[in-house]
Parts: sequence; C-alpha cells; structure tokens
Amino acid sequence: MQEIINGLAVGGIYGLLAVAFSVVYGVLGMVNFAFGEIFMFGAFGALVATQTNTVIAGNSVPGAALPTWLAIVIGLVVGSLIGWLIERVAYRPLRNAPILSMLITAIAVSMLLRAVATFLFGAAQVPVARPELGDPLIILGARVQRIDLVVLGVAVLVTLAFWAVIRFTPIGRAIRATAEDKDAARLMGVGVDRVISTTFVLGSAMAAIAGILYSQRYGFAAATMGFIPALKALVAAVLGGIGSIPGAFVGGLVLGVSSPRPTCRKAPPTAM
Amino acid sequence: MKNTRTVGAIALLGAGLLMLTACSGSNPGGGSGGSDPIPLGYTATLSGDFASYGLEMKEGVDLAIEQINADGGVLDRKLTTDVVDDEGKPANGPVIAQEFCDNAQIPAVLGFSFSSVALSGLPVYTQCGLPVVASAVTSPELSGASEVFFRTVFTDAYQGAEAAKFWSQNRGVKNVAVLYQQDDYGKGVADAFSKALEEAGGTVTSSQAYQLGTVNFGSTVDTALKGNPDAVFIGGFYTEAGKIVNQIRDAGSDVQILASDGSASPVFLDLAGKNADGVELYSAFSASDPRAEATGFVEAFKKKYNKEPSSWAALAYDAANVVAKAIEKAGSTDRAKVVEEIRNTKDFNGVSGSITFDKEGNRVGTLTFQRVENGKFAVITE
Amino acid sequence: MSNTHTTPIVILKPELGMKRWIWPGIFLILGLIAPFILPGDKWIRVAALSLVYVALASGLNILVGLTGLLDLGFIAFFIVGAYTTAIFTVRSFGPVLEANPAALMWVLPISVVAAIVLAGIAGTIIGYPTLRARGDYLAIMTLAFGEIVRIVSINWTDFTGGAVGIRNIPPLSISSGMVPPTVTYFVLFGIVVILLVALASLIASPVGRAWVAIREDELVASSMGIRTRRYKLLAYVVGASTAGVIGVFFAHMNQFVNPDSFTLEDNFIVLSLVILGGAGTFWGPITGAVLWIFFQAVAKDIPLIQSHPEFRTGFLALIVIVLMLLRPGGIVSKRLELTRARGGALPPQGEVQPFAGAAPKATGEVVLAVDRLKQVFGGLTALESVTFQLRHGEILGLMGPNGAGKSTLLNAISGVTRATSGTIEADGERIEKLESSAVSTRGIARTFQTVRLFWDMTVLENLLVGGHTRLAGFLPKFLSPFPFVRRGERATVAEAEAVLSFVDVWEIRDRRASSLDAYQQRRVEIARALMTRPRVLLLDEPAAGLNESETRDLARLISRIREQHIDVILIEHDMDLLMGVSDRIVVLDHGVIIADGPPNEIRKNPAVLEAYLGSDAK
Repeated sequence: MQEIINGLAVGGIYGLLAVAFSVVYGVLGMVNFAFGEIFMFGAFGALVATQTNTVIAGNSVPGAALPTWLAIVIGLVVGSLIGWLIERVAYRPLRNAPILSMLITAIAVSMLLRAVATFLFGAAQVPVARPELGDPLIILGARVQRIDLVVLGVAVLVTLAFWAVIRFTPIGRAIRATAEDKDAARLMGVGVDRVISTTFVLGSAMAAIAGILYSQRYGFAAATMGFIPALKALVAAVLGGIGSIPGAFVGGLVLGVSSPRPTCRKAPPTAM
Repeated sequence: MKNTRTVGAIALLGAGLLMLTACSGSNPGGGSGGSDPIPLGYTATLSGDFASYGLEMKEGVDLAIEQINADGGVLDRKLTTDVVDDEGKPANGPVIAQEFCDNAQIPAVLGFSFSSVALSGLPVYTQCGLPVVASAVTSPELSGASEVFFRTVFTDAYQGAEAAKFWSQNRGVKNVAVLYQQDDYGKGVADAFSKALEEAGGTVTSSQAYQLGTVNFGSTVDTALKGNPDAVFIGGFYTEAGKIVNQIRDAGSDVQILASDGSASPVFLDLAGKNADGVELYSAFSASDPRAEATGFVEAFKKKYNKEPSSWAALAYDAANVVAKAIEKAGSTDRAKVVEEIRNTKDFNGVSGSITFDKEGNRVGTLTFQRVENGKFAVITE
Repeated sequence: MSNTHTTPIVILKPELGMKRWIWPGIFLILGLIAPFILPGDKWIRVAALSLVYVALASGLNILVGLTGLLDLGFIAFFIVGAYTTAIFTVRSFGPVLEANPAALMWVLPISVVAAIVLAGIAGTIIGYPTLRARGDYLAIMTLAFGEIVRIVSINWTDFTGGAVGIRNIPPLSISSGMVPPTVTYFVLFGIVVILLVALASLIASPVGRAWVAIREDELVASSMGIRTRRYKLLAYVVGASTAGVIGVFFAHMNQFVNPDSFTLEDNFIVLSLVILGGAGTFWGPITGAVLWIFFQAVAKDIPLIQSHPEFRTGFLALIVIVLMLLRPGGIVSKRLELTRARGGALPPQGEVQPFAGAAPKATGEVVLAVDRLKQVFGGLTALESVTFQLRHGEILGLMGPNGAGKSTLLNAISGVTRATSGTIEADGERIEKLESSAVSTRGIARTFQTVRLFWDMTVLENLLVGGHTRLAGFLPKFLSPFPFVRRGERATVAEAEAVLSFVDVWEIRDRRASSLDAYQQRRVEIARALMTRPRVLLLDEPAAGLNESETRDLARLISRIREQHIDVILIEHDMDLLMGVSDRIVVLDHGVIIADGPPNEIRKNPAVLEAYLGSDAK
C-alpha cells in the first residue's frame, strides 16, 4: 500500500506529461520529444522568478524575487511560449516531410533546448526550496506526505480541466476534428494551423506545470531533468493508448507506481 | 544530374572538414624550453548531469596553476591547461588519450571523473608513457593498472573499509542498511564497506542499488528502514544522496545517515537543506581542516571563487602541485623522467594531507571524516 | 498514400558501366588514404570510430530506412557483440591468448561468428513481439527491450563483469605489444567494407526489394506473395548481426567494455545519423556517420566550445534542425540500387507467363467457387451469404450499388480479410483461411480500388516485386559481391520487360511510380499483378479516373488478358466497360447476390434496376 501511495504523486506528474504527448501526437502525428525540455523550462522559469540572486550564464544578476504563486504563472508562461515557438519555427515547415525527419527534428530541438538551459543555468542540479506543508498524514495505514497530495491533486485537476476543454468547448471540437482528419477539418473551415498551435500551447502549459510540480516535490531543477520523465511519460502515453486522455493519465500513474524497482540484494556474501 | 551536385557538395564539405582537422590537430612546432608555456592535459566530464566533479576539480587545478605561475612557474616557464571534455563516455577515452599523447609538449595529464573513462584510455597513455595523476577516480580496478597511472584520491576499497571501521568503532553502529548507485563506483564502495563492516562484527540489514537519475526513493527508503538499522549508508553521488536524505526524513525517521565521498559537495548541502544536518561522511579533505596548508588553500580558493572548495578541488589542487614539483625535480618535461619523479613522491604536504604513492599508483594517507553541522561541513576525528 | 502527390517526371535509369563505380570508388579511395592524410594519431582514432558508426548506421538503416521499422533499441545488438568477444577473448580463451597472441587469428573469427549468431538471436527475440505492433508501439517496445539488454549487462555480474565491465581485451594484432592506430583503422576498414558489400548485395536482391515493398505498402507486398512477417524478422536479424559484428571490433579497438560505453542516448545518435544522412539510401547513413563523428571531434577543439561544452551539442542540434528544414529527406538522395540486372534496350515481345502450379484447365471448368460467404465487421454485416463460381475462360463482372460489398468480397477472396464463415475454393483447394501472401502463391492476383503502387520505386522495380516468389530462396544465394548478377535476376528482369510490353508501358519502365499519370499507374498495377503469373486476376474498379478513350483501351487490355488464359473478376461502375467486356455479370446488393447472368439479362433485370434506381424505376 505504502508503495502505491509513494508512487502516485510522481505518477500524476508523468500522467500530465503523458496527456500532453498523447494529444499532440493525435493532432500532429508525431512525438514531440521536446516536452521534456518544456517541462524543465517551466520549472526553471518558476525558480528564477523567485530567486533574489540569479546566476544566468555564469553571471550573477539580481533576481525578481517574486512570490511563489506569481512565479508559477511565469513558469507556465515561459513553458507555453517555448512550446509555441518550437511549433512555429521547427515543426510547421516540416508538416509534409517524411515522419522520420520530424522525429529527428524533435530530438534535435530537445537537445538544443538542453544545451541552452545548460548555458543559462549550468550543468549541476540547482536546489529548489521545497514547500513546508506540515507533517505527513496517515491514510489507510500509509504515510502520505502533504506535498504528494497537493501534487496529485493539481495533476488530476489540470488533466480534468484539459479533458473538459477537449470534450465540451468549440476549440476542443476543432482539435478532435483535426486529430481525426486534418484535410476534412480544413474543408469544414477549421483553421488547422491555429488549432495545432493552440494544442501545442495547451500541451506545453501542462508540461510546464508538471515540471514545476516535479521541482517542488523533489527539491531541484537541472538542465537535464526532463529527459527521463519525458521518456517515461511517452511510454505511459503509448501504453494508455495514443490519443486517449484518461488512458495516458492512468498510464502515467501506473508508471509512477511501478517505476522504482531497485535491484534488491540480501546482505552481500562476505567473500567479495 | 542532381547526383553530381550532391557529389560536389559532399566533396566540398569533406574537404572543408579535412582542412579544419589540419588546423586543429596540428601542433605548433615544439620550441624547447625558453619562455614557451608548459601545457598540462586536463580531461574530465565537463558536461551533462555529473559535470560538477569535473568542474570543481578544474577550479582546484586552475588555482594551483595561478599560484605556481605567480611564483615564477616551473623551470621558468608558465603552466597552462589543455582542457578536453570526455562527456562521461568511455569511447572518448582512447581518442582523448591519443590527442594528449600526440602533443609532445604535454608532460602530464590531470583530471578524470569516471573510472570507466580512465580505464579505457589507459592503454594509450601507457603506450606513449604519458603520466596521469587523477584526482576523483576511485575504482579499485585502476590500482596497478598502468605504471604511468597515479591518483591523489583514495580507492573505494580503501575508503569503504576505513569508513566501516571508523563508524563501527566510534559510533557503535552494528546494523546498517546500505544504498548504493548502480555503477562501478557505488558498487565498489558498497562492497568494501559491507565487507569491512561484517569483519568488524556488524551486519548489513539490506543492500539496495538504485539507478543514477532516480528521484523517487519512497519504496527504497521504506525497505531500508525496515528492521530498524542503526544507520543508513549511502554510496553514491550527491544528486541522489541529497534526495535520499530528504526522503528518509520525510518518512519520519531520524536514523543516523552515513555517506561516501560522493556527497562531499556543497551542492549536497543545498539539495538536502536542513535535513543534511547530522549526516556524516568521509572524504579526502575538509574545508574546516585546521592545518596551515589547508586554511591557506581555503582562503585563496574563497578569494578566487567566492565559495568554499570541495574535496575534489582540493585533491586536484594537490595533483597539480605534485606534477609541478615532479617536473621541477626532473629538470625537464621529458615524460619518462617526470613519471619517475612522480613515482618518487614521498610525504608531499598536500592540502588534503600527506601524499605518497604506493607501487600501484594509489595514494597512501588517511581519510578525513566530516559531519554536517548548521549547514556546513565540519571535521570530526572521533 | 494515394497518388495525390504526383511528382514531376522522374527517370531513374540505373547506371551502367564505369559510372556506377564513381561513388563507391571515391569512398574507397578516401578510406584507404585517410590515415596518411589525417594529421595525427588522434584523428586516425576518430576515423576508426567513425567506421564503427558507419556500420551501425548502415545496420539500422536496414530496419528504419528500408523496412520502415523504427527500432529505438538498436544499440542492444552492439552490446551483445562487444560483450561476446570480451567474454571469449578474456575469459574463455584468455590464457591461450596470453601465451600466444597470434592465436587471435582464429579466436577472433570464432568471436565474430558467435556475435553474429547471438546478435541474430537477440534480433529475433526483440523483433518477434513487435511484428504485429503499430508504429508507435513498435518504437516503445524496441526501446524497452534495448534497455533491458543494457540493464542485464549491468546486473549479470558473474558473466559480464557488471558495472565494472571487462578489461584487457586483446588489441587487433597478432603480436604482443602496442598496436599503432593505423593498423586498427585498416582492420576496421576491411571489416566495414565487407559488411557494406554484403548489405549492398542483399539490397539489390529480392530481399531488399521485399523490405522496401513492406515499407511502402505492407498490404500490397503481402498480396505479391511476400511473407511480410518473415522479412521483417529478417530485417531485425540482418541489422542486429551487423551491429554485433562491429561491436566485436569496437571492443577490441577500445580494449575495454562496460555498460557506460553504450547509453540510451546512443540509440538516438545512431538514428540521427541515419535520418540526417538520408534514411533508405545506401550512402546516406555512411555519409551521416562520417560527417557527424568528424564534426563532433572538430567542434571539441574550438576554444569557445572548450569553455562551454554544452555549445557543442547545442550547435550540432542546431545544424540538424537547419538541415532538416532545408533537406527533409536527408543529405544524400541517391536512391538505392534495388537490382543489379540491367534491362534491354529494345522493347521485347509482350507476353505473360502462365501459372505454373497446376495443369491448364478446360474452358468452362470451375476455377473459383465461393459458397455462402459471410463477412461481419463488428456490428455490420458486409456480406450476408454470397455464392457464385468463376469459370475458366470467362470475364466475370461484379457490380452493385455503393456499399454493396464488392470490395469486401474481393478482400475476402484475396486473403486481405478473413471471412466470418463460408468457403472459397480455388481449383479444389480451400483458401478462405489463407492470408494474402499464400493466396497469391495459389495464383490469385489483384489490383486495388485506389491504385497502390510502390511509389518510391521505378516501374520496373515494382514489377520485380511481383516476381518475388519465384526468386526468393535461401539467403546466402544473394550475397554475391558485385558486379556478378545472378541468372535468376536477369531472367526476371527480362520477364518483367515482356509483361510491361504486353501492357504497353515498357517505355516508362525507368520512371518513378509517383511520376506517372492515372492510366499509366493503373496499367503498371495490372502489369505487376500479371507478373505474379496468376491464373485468376481480380480487378477492383480499374477504370476509375480514366477518360473514355483510356477506358476503351482498358477494355481491350482485359480481353487480351483473357486470351492469355487468365480468368478475370472485374468490379466496375462504368457500365459501358462492364457490360462490354464481361461474359457474365454477378450483381451484389447489401451483401447478397441478387442476379447472375449474361449482360443483356442483367440490363433488364427488375431487381437490379430497383437496387440501383429505387423502386420508382420501371
């Protein structure tokens, strides 16, 4: 039981990312590997906004020292902006190119963003102050950290909100139509380019939120922090069924719970 | 046809690349002696997740060189560094080694963050007789691996055993839960520690490996805390150790935490925050060492970099000085002579203690133990 | 892919004589003189490393570029090869080699063979579960399996040395003492040349064509008689073996292996090389590998990079992005050579070879018998109960309003889908349970409602795929170093040209399929079907998109096909064509046959009229 509880929070984070992957894949037919880096920039955006003294590219500059809630918004904006930019500059021109070319461009974009982040923030892990929420609660015999509840709660809420947007709003309908048949949607008067951009921005926002949650939960941010979570989220999205929002989210939860499988050994033999 | 155009373009590209290699690969004709600087090779992992060790070592080397040059240099020549990033990839080891070997100006090489990279490059260094004085690679596999390999850092086998002895004697820890990172460093430390602990009459209650890059240690911590061990030992880099410490405290346990030199980094303090207090670890150096050499070094380091030196910086600083002294004593940059002098290093007063190399190239000396008190590392002697 | 992307006319005449040696010649010469023009031993090591990546990229190209299988765990095979030789030369034969270094002469080949076998097995194990998987699942599965191999190498300490790895692997020399980098380079160069020649031979053979066919259109490849699952597995095995072999030499080059030598990222790097260079071409991956490795090495020496190592990956990533925006197909666009046989210069006599599987039949004998065929898809019953026969010597028309189930019927007969119940007999043999490749070998060929050619191939290459089943056989048959061409290939090309001549498209045999007009495409598709030497030909709306004169021409073609003793089932909406050419017509409506008779009867049949025009028609 404790194991499951332990994994749910990070599972929620993976779930958020997985949903982003899933939706973008549905609309664009490609895997946007760069979501891991948007995840990371979201975290850094929020971090830098709160710092009194930031170190950018090795230079110490006075920071904005904004309150946490504002910093989170900034992180979101930064992430979404980057996502929008990537789509416009790198993906849109390649819409009709072979799918492999889009794949490798996505990977290259991901590498480029990592390099930029390393240049700006350094290669090491930067500590992030973990929020002090109080003592852990005991639920069903297991110890649950309050931060975990917050993380999971936010992840679920954001996913639900996104799902509601896709299901009930006009733009959501447009997204679903474009995902099913781009050409038919265009013929029906759907501004396909705008829809794709919007989907990207929404997905990036979710990735950014996931990144902020992650850095708050584990107390660090690093230029390379997005690589592994993105890979896990991708697996989750595929397992949950590409294009399915609930499937992707549940896939993320499952992956979060089953991930930490340390190879256990009993006490090692005395003869080395 | 368009094919010829492609051929032409590729040929041009290829020719261009070839020219570039000529520019970067060629060595400016060797001026012997005089005022030409002596380049020391420096290679370590300078990019990626674990760049911190390589960067910190470089800080130590740079400070040492700055001081040596201010003092007139070696053989009346200034020292410089030829820096190459190995990216943590063993495949790059031989290539970089060859590059250094080919540059006849280089009398010695410093650095190395990963033992696997060092191991892969060793055959080449041995072949061209270029001495290596490493300062962060701790794998026992490197002991005696080459007659040109030396290191100022202790081996995992030595450190793990010493640590187990120290803590079981001085803290009375009998049952320890061991956590280690899944690579040659973590395994080496864990194995040495566990063996020595059991020889001292203790028991290892559980032994778990974790992958580098793991952030979620919930289940790992739970298993480790089962059976109420006297202490938890973490054999790994600060990136994971910091998180493990946090999550052990999150789980409500205030068990004594012991760590290896992988946690001997200011970043560990940042990552673990308040939870770092009380953690004990071993390293080759402590910034609060009261010896004169150490305090002088710490002061100069703080002046140059605005922060306290990590043990990696200290070990690399010592390595650079050992090499400089050896070149001075050899009277030339001839590699064979320099190797001889390095081998003869005895009781060299480094900032990390007295340095002597045994016949396997390993450092003979004593380990330093530290405890985190009020967010700072403090030396403990018992 | 439908043909809404007609490209400008592209003629891809295969090179003859000396011209075809230019590209290989350049690379061979460059490779041979490289160690003597490169400044310094370091660059020779870099060159040797680039050879490793050349082999890796070429191997992955078989999977990703040729067959369209996105393998993200390719490095696993490389690991198997490297560890195999490490264990053999250090553990098993260690003492032997220490006493006598020259023994490497025979130990190394053992390692290589073992690596090929083990890597091939790994390829089969990893490939098999992915055979039925969709594209994205395939990628994830291969990624996961690749990771598993890496994790096993870390954990199986007794065998692989665990995280510490295996040291002191003997270098590539038969004497003790150090090996100059030049020697290592030339050994690697030799191995890579052999690998590339073998791969090129495989590509210019039915195997290579089958792979490309599977990538282009797996369904159609299957209807040509290609057992697609088998060839996909073969792609895995060939790619894996290539990686395994070069893994052996990598281990000896570095004299050390441990799990750190092969990371998850390396999978993406090799994939990038393939795509950057040009996936699906022969020289693309080679070019990509060489350029990339050298570029990386050069970039490392720039002082700016030295102070900011992250600039290197950033800069390289930027180059990749720019290159992809400018040339999405990759740097090299020179197409694969899919056959070494060259065709004739004059159009041959048009003829079609007869089906070889059974004795010729008498006119009127039943060739195909469909009995109470039922096809249900989920909740929809497409075919209710269909019963009819096809007799030898006749052209059977099949008509019906839209949604009647005509194409579904054709799909069931040709094995593309499996009927829910009922039987189909071809010459007395029950075929309703066979898959399409098996149906094709029974002599039943088909075309499709929208033309499905292998768009990237030329017309002639399309036809050669049609001749696949006659050429396919035991693998080593194809490993002939150029320029020797097998007799079978030559005969097949000659036959293909004859069929093209029969269908009157011989002149365009070297054009890329995507650059043909609608009628040419249709005829090529029919020619390709005829190339399989069928006895029954199923035509699905062949006149769609054709104008009147083309339709008349098509009618004549269909008659000529009948004269070749091939029986035809023709689905058509064009009534003039259908009524004009068919001997008998069967009418399908809502999944049942509502009429069966000669055209003039059908024309007046009230049930047919009602089905088409509604009950108001009289």
